[in-house]
Amino acid sequence: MPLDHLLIVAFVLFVVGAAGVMVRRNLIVVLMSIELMLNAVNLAFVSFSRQMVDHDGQVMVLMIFVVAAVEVAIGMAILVNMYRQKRSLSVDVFHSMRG
Amino acid sequence: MPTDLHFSLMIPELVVLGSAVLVLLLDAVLHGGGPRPGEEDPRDTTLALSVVGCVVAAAWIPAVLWNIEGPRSSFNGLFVADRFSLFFKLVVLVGAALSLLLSDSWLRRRRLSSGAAHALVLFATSGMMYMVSAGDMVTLFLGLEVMSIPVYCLAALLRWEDRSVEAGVKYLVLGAFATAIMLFGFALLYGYQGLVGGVATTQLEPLQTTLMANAEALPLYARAGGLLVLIGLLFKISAAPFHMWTPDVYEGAPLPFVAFMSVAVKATAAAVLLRVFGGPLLAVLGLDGMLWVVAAFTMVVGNFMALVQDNVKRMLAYSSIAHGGYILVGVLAGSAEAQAGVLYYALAYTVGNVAAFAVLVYLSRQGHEAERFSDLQGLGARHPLVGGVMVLAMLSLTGIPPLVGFFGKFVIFKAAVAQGYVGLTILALLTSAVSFAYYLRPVIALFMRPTVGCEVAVIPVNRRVALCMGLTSLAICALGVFSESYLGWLSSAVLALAG
Amino acid sequence: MQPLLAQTAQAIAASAGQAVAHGAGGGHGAAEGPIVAVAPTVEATSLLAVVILLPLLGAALNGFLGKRLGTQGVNLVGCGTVALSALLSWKLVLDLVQLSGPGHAAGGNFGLHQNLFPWIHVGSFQADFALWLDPLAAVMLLVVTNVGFLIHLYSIGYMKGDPGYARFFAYLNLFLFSMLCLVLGDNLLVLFLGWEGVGLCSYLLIGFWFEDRANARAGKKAFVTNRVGDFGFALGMMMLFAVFGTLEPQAINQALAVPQGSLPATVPLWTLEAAALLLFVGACGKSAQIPLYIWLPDAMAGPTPVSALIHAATMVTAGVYMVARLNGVFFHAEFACYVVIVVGASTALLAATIGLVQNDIKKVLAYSTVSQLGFMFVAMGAGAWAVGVFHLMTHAFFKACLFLGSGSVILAMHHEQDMRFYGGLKRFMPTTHWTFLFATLAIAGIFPFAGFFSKDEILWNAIASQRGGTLIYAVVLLAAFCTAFYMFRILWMTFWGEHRGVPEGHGHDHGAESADDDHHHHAHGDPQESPWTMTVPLMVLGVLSLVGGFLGVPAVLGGHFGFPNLLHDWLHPVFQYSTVALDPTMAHNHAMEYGLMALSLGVAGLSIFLTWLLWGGGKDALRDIFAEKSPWLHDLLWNKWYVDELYESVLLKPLVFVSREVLWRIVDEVIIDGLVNGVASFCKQAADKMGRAQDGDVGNYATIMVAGMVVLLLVIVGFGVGT
Repeated sequence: MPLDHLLIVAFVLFVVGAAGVMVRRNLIVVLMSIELMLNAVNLAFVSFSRQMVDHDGQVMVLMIFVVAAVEVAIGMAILVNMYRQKRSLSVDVFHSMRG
Repeated sequence: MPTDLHFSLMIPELVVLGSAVLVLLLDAVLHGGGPRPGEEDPRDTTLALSVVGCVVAAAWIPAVLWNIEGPRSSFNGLFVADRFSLFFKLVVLVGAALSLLLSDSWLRRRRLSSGAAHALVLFATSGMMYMVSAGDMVTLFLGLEVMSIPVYCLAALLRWEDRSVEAGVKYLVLGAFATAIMLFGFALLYGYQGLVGGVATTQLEPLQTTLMANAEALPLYARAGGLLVLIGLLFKISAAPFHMWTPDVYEGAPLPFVAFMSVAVKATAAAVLLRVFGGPLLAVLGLDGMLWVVAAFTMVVGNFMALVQDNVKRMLAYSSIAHGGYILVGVLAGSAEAQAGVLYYALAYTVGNVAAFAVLVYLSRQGHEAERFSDLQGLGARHPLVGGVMVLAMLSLTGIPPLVGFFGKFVIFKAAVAQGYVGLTILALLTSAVSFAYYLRPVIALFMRPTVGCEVAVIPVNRRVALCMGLTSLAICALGVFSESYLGWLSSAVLALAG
Repeated sequence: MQPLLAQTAQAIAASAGQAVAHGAGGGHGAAEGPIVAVAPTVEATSLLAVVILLPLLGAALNGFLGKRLGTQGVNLVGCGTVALSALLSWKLVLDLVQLSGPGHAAGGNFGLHQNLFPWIHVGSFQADFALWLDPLAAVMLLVVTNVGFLIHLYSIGYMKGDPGYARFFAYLNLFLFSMLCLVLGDNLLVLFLGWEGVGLCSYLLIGFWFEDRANARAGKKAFVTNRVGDFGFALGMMMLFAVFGTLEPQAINQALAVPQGSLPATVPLWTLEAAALLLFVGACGKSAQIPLYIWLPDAMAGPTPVSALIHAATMVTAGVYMVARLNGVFFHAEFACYVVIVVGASTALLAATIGLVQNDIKKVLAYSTVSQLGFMFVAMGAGAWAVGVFHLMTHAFFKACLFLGSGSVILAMHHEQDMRFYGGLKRFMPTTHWTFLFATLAIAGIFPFAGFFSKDEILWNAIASQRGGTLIYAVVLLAAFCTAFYMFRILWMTFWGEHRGVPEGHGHDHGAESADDDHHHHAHGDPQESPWTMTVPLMVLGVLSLVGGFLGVPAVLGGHFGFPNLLHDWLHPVFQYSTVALDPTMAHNHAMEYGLMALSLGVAGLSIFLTWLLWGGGKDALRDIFAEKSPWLHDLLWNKWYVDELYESVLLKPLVFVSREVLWRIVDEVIIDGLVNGVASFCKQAADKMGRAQDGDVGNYATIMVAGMVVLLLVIVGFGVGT
């Protein structure tokens, strides 16, 4: 598979993820969208890495995996607290601070 | 297999990490919730351990590392302990130690376990230290996350309070979003380095060399990669329009940790901006015009929005955005003098802002955060020393000579003029004149309004907060008046960056 | 540091000398051949810092420990530190006199120098926290510390029993510290430190009685107006640095010590003009000149000693001092000087005419200060630096005396400031009356009081200088006429004639005191003379108002008797390379000078005579004669020639119109309110707009980030690879 195609897929994935963060109201879906963006990044790194027969990019991907897992764990912990308070996971319940 | 494993360069980081782990363990063992009758208060132990960790790590830097002979980079270039990074580590450690001192009484008054919070501060600090030492995308990214994730937790620390959780969620979502953007930029730059530079690597220095060498014909994707990385960092320094999280997070997050976030995160972001985009690289990537716009926009948004706030924390949040704008002016100017100015500014902002937060922490009581301007009314007469600290902090942040804040601005603006950014400097001067208006408000509230209600009784003096206020106000005066004594440090730090 | 200064100065002066030698010198100014500026004679000292730090120590002690010190302690700390500082300043000036021998021999400037510590060295930029006492600074130093001490002493009596007693002295000491930094700073950065510091203290002291909203607003107004000026000052400072690479006035003046029109090629004239204009904007803010004068009358909300110290004797003259300090810049910037002289003359007249009809005693004095500062700027614009400084000094004496006298009256009248309720106070307060009379004679310019000499020199320079002219002279003379008039009006209304007293029910109700007292005149009892802490400063200042002028007797008067112009000679080393020559047709026209002197005396006399007719016994005496024969004349006199009405319709209405409707509108409502309210409301709107984006919605925040990112990406793509 040529590099260009892989990169285009990565870019599309990234845009889809970003769009998800922007428009989805459920915070779990928003976190999933961020995961999607990170996966797009991973794809890009891996594609470059394969093209150039280099390991650095793959190391980076492993790191991103780990950090993404941590982020989700923390995110879920905070969301649980939020659900306890608000009984909702929608972005729309967050308007107490503004202006 | 890398052959240069110089762990000795990493001693400050290891000390901080080690004390973080110890604090966490001790907290679990010693029932961090409060003292049992007849026993020593375990919270004293964890606080002492955390602060000592920071102080030892900080002391190690000038004592040993600053003048160390031999190589300053380690782990195959992943970790760089040059004087530039050492300076910022010092700033970060000072900010962390002061915030720890502040947080203790605040946490106790709310009967919160202090061990976990202290451990989080220490973990975040170690992340910042790795980040400013990063010579590679991997370390940069890992440092960034080790910094960010504990900070998200700190924002959401009051998990039964709406606003705190809201702050945590917002920070987490937007922070992760910004990280993803930055990582995509790194992926593009990695690809560029491999395809054009010949040697595929995630290290930063070869990448910079390749970019500079091909300055004439940079493909769009390389420039876009640079832009995405820049945006990730601009988010952390809260530059407009990537600043939207800042006021909400600052307002919701617990007071002492806002102090930590505002000073340490911003200093770290400034350091990384300088390391990655310092010098002519910005112009090579064609990002200087864009940074001009962002800096101008940031100063305007930060200062003007700060004018209309009624919440002191929110006002300080917007003003911190504005300070980010001034730092960007220095980054944009890019000359050695401007970079020294940024270092100076980071230090000035740290002590000034921590002093302001220290006063707010001092005036807060359980169930009553000193947040509104009206909460400060008339307290200057009752606590002249505390009021004096606030005045010093505000004057320094505004930039009145001879306080340290003035020189930060002065050096940056002068360097910017020298580099031909006259319009931006005039805008910066005008907006900092605007900042007078809102920085005077706490002073007016403290000294020029009658006290409201009598429930604001005499607040018992907390020694740790008092120590924090004393140290910061001393620093505000002394660093301004005797700036010459340490400017040599700044210059050598900047020289390290230049290579 | 000092050798470096001397080196740069010599290097620049040498290049300037070359420029002259190459025949570039077509200057029509001082045309005594090429000047090679002599570098200043410098001697190190370690006492200057002590002079500065003593008031700071006082401020710290009173500010932090004030409550524990007790009244006596506060007095001792507040006045003691300033007294020591004043004594030390005398010692230093005597040292300077010792130095003046060798200094004069070499022909250069001379001074004492102290480098406290290297302040900031970044790249090419160096600034030390250094102090410099040369003859010019010495004059200011003595005025500031000594008048400052007298006013501190006075404040003991005036502020007695005020709940913020210690705070007041802390602010006052802090002010003196800042003012001394301003005066003694060896580079513009230290000067700027003082400049900001005095502004801050002024703000704090105007709003001292902050319970009153109006006072707080007056303080705010003063602060914001000064910010407008400071903006100009900061830009001018940066401009000077860009041209000269240094911020030291000594080095800058030394570099400019060339005849007019033969500037070195490295110094384009337009940069000097621009820098001078920007600096003058700063001076306008601090020294209350059109259009930034409006804060000063409002600043009278502060306690009267503050008005005397800050808003009459010292701080407001900082602008004049700064121009004198940078005389080299203004010497070459001829256009800027025209602006200075026009603004100065207009301010002098405008403020004097407004002062004619004010009824609040402090307001009259405030407008008088604005007007007198205008006089000083006329001298500066005419290039007669020494004359401006001379008037600055005499003005400090007599205006401080006037303010303190008014404070004494205000205290005796239980904080009533309306002169219509005064009258006949001479009987109750003889000391205050006599000192006030002396100071009034001085400001009116009556021989041999201090103001006569300094004001006359200004008038002479206004017409005889190459930068002056007949029109300027006429305007200033008219202002002098008004000055004598409004000052004697105060005397008549306050001290002479019948005591009118405060009618019952007016303003200040002091409760039981006036309950069953049918002599409403004496509702508060007879006015009392003030305690000695207040009258002693008055007497000292009164005497100085009488004799202060003999320091600067003009050559045309003193020369015949071998009486030198002491101040002029003393300041000569500072200004020697930058003195603007007089118009050749005027320079030696002694007859003209005598004539003009007589004219101004006559004008003042006429003015005083008019006040006698209007308020004094003249009216009664003339009334008896005219009452029967010409009732209309009687009416005319009885109604003070309808002068008030005349002012109203002819003079005041248009002036007030100009001042209120034009200047006020522009400065106060557009600039000040623009900054305070306008910008605030603009910001509110803008912030509302931005705040609407800041709606707390995470999704929207992400969208805005992405939008910003996309725009920036497009910018990159749009600008292509070309950059």
